[in-house]
Amino acid sequence: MSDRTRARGPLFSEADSMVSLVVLVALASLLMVSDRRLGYLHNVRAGTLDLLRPLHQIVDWPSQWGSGLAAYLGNRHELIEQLQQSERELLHARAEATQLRTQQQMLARVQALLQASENDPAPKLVASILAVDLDPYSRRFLMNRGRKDGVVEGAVLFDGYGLVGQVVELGTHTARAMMLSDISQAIPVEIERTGGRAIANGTGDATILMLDDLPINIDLQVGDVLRSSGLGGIYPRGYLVATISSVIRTPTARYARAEARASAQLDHIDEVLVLPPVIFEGPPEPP
Amino acid sequence: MKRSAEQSAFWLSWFAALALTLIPLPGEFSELKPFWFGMLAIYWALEAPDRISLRFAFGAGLLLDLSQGLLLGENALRMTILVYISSRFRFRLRFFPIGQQTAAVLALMLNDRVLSLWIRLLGGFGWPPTAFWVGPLLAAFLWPMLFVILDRMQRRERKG
Repeated sequence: MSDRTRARGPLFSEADSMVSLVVLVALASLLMVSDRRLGYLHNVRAGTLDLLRPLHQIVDWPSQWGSGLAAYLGNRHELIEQLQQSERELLHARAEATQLRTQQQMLARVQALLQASENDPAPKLVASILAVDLDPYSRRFLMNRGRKDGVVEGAVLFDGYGLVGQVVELGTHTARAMMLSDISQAIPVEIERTGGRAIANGTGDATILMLDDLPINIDLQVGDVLRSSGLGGIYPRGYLVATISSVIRTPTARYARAEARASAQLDHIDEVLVLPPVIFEGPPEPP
Repeated sequence: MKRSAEQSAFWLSWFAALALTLIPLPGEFSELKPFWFGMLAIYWALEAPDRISLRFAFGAGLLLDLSQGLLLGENALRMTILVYISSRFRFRLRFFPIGQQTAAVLALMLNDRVLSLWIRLLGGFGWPPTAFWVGPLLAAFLWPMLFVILDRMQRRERKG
């Protein structure tokens, strides 16, 4: 077409273009009607979309830059808020992590404990509490393991938080044990912070231990942790026993006293781990 | 020399028009997008009728249909008719002063809108929004600038 018109010069050839016009208009109408009937435009468009994609991308750059810039400039306030919230969340996460770490340490201790008892000929045992004595001064309870299960007299009980007590009477399938807080019990301890030694006595109150006859100038503070010292030949060394809750220094007395709270949950234990008692090679001296 | 300058201006203008047409606008403004292809078709039909044939207009319209048409063939029809009318009255339009030419463009675009409306109604697409009628005014507003820019483009390239 363009060649022909060029050959004839710029003059408009009416008849020629009239034919063209009629043909093209008819063609366009045919396309529209068939598209309206068959609705194939979407398919055709999808097929040719790839052809126009580079152009679309070029055309899209300014708007992408624009939105990028808006995100960069506009959201300062939002970002600050997000930062603050993140900091709060971090604080919570840290607290949780600390708790988790504590629990992990505890788990490691328990695992070490289990492993240690694995090496021992004595079997490791978990016992459930059957009954607790009601006598206010005697802190004793019955558990569901006995001689047949491998429990021996003097076996030490541990509840995962701290030492609980020791076995005092042995049955075939049950055993009676005495808590550290029983009035007749005493356990040699060492102060974790200073390494100083003392003896913690039961008071009859479920969770309270008493440290009597301390040197008046002993280095002891509220919050100090007491661990079993292993002296005396019954309790193994290094287990949590209690935390100091108050130190009593009376000016007229010759000795200081301290009250401690048992680490084991002595007022609501339901399961304990049975550990074999420490056995000395030398002359034994049971309490 | 003149041919090649005109040719590059020709293709460059169509490419730019395609890019301008494809630029995405927010929904309520999309009706306000100028009919760049139509304006270019008028310009080249007046300026270089040997470059723009009815078939070219038809092809360009089809390309437009593929990218955004209501129906396949809608823009092809509109472009064909636009170029036909522009070519038909080429000698009168070409030598009009710019103001009169602008009025003619407005009339051409209005005619194009009526054609488009006719297709819409026949196709059952319903009555268009009010912004639909702003197109011709926009085209008339842009026409003098477009005319000057395209003229300059060729003249500068002709010199070089």
